[in-house]
Amino acid sequence: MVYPFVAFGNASIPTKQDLLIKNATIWTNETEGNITGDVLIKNGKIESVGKNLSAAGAKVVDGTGKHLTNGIIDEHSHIALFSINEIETISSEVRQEDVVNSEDINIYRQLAGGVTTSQLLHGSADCIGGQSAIIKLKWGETAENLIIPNSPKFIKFALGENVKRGNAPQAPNRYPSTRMGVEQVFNDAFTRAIAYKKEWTNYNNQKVKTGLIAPRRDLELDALVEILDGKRNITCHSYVQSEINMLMKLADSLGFKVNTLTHILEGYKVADKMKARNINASTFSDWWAYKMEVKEAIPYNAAIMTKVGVNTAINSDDAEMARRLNQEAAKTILYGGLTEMQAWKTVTLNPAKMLHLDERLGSIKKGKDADLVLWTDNPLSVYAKPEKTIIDGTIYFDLENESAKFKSVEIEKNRIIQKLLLEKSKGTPTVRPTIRTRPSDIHCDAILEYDGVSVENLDEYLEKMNNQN
Amino acid sequence: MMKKIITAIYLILISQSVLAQNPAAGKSVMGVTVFSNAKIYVGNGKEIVNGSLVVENGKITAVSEGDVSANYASAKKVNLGGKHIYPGLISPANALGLTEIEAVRTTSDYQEIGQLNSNVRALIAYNTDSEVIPTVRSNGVLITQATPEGGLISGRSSVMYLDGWNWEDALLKADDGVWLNWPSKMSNSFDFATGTREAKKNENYQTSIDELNKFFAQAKLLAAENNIYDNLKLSAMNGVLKGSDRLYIQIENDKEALDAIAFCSAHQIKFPVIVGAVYSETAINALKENNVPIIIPSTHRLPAKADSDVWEAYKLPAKLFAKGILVGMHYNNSYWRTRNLPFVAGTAVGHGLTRAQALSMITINNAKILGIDKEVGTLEVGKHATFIVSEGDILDMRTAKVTQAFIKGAEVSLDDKQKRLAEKYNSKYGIK
Repeated sequence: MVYPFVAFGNASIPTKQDLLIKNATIWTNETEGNITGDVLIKNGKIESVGKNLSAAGAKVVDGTGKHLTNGIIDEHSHIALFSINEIETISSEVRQEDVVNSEDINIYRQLAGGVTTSQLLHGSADCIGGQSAIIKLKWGETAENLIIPNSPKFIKFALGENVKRGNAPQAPNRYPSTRMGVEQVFNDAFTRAIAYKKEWTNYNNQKVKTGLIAPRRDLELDALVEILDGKRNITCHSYVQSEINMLMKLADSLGFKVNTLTHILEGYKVADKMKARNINASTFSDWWAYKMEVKEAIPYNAAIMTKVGVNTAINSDDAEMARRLNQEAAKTILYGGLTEMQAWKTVTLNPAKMLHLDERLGSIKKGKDADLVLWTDNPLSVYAKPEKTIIDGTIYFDLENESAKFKSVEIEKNRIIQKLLLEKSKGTPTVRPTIRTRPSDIHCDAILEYDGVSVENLDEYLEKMNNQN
Repeated sequence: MMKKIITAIYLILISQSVLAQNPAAGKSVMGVTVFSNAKIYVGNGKEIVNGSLVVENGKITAVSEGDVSANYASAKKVNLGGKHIYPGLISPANALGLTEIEAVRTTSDYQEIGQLNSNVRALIAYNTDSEVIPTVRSNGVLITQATPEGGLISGRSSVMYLDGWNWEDALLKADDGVWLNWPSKMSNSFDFATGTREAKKNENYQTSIDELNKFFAQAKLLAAENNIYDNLKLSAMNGVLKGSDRLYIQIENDKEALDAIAFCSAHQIKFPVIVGAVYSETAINALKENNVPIIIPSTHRLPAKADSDVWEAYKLPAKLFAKGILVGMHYNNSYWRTRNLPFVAGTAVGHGLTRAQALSMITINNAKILGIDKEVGTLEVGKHATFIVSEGDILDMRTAKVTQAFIKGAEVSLDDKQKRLAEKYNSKYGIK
């Protein structure tokens, strides 16, 4: 248990191998749909898809009676992060890539649920949140190696109750506290960004710079200029139609594009407007009634948006739900009657498209990344579980080794406890272990927290800190 | 003219407000109805591949192989065309009907102030007009145990049908048990100075247990003295002490479960029920030896610790069944998610449980634990005609599609607010 150095870590860093998966039901996500056949993986990529393939040197995996799919892509995740929320209304300068925690056990748990790629988003305490990290769940690699190289740039925006602190235990004490204010925060931020961009353009256009003072660099506005320039994509946490409509109109008028509306539980009310602007949707399968702004959320949302022509994904936002996104995708069959293929794409090809990673991910096609899952059953069935989860040709989860792995965790735990007990019996002074943990069920709608302290209690926290100093 | 306009406006308003309400409660049917050509999941492990279910005056009068409709000349006949019939699903330990919007405090009616609330009754707070109820019903959950939370003794639950004009109508079993929140041995504290979290011993643990001991002893003494004076909190315990009501004990960990079981032995509680998850051999054996049933939470939970088995919660049902323990399941997460009850039971099937066992957790086992198995839980002669019809396997979201539901023989509307909203926007976009 060294890679990473926690329970369920690997003895050595898992390595790439050439694999030939034979005779499985292959969910290609391409025009040919589901086929029975073989997939050859070479050097981390899909080498070929077909029948009766053979390859010298490749390890053969029998897929008879099993289903082979792409790995699940979670558009909205908060696992594997040391921090989620900054507290400024505009926090566009912070980067989730700086706080990736490669030792989070949720990485392993989600591999066991067939997830291979996650967008790690900033929280939703702020109108403009931080920049995303898009990672592959390569359990055992360093934080740096989890991040997909040259992955498209994303940033979190948020609307509604969270940014206006609507569910705060105390009265809101920060602007904005209404949806009216939220519009003006965006309006102001982008007005400043446009002016800032102009300043820099003017400066850069000067051929002779002698005697000129360069404009002051502003990291917040740098990120917003990237948005204006189409180099950074917005994923916006949003619920009700009024605010969604507002953001779309504001984006039109200020000249930026909204890439994805995430949560988007009233997307079904504005699907036509989203379609007209080519905005993607990433939603929950069946959440509602947990707060006022989701009282008109419906489980038919994903199906309606899909039928209107919006590229729609099902996301987790939640470390527990991400372990069974296959089941969440299947609910689009129950609610709204999507076909199995449409349903499966909501957690694979569709999120790949909205993350602009569909050149590499999301379907089983020669040349794409070998991020694959072999399932015991139809992946949309409640009875299915992953047997093997493969990323870039490396097996990161293997059901075959799972019980041996758990046993070794138990043995190691017992070994450590025995050592501690032995020391204690010798009279060595003991200390109570303290655990620096964050609750693992953090998501957008959990209490928004800063270093274990909710935003609402932050003043009290800082005051206590100051008194101690 | 003015009068006519006002009347017209009034009528428009009326029709809109009717649309915005929950559907009317099902109407009871007299006489005989035969449902034939169905796959019948009786609920006791028996499955009839092609059978008939005969209902008379709200009760089941026959469950047979083949099509028996010819034997009932004057009966109403329903050919189900190969669809599946299941007993109505039972959802214990739930706040459904007691709250409407989770984050809006004024809509919540499940947690009273105070520590010893044995006298409070969830029954009278159960709101049959909750718009969440029909959405849960849509996936086959027809019975809920409206359950109070919080404090040491939270109050008394009641078993309710998910249909009815008011709580009297919806009632299946009033005040079926008292809910005890067993104190936790450990408490989590956050140290602001170091930014660390520490699991500390709960210094008040024994004090809380002493308080419970005293409360139960007092209740027993007062009952023995024929309740010589009125004490609402103590006399609310009479049913538990006599053995007519359940004592539901919510526990956090195995150690507390062991203490709770010992507490029940000491106080000679006849029907204790443990509500929560236990994993250790010791705790599981204690359940077995003391013949205590357990209602476990949903499989859709994260493992308790970072080094716990990844599928700890998914494997637990099979582990408990293997020991021969009476296992029920409740949906422990938000009440509005309870429509997933069949799926969280189904999830255990990939991890060692049979489908029949998974179904039994949320039908007959829950019925036995709640003491309603004479009325519901299986499709057997003499029981309420409380059942659902589905196009496929209801434990799997891939195939589940409940098309009809019946409570005591009355067909229940499967319409809900969410379906109406979907319809409204489908028609806006011209899609289906």
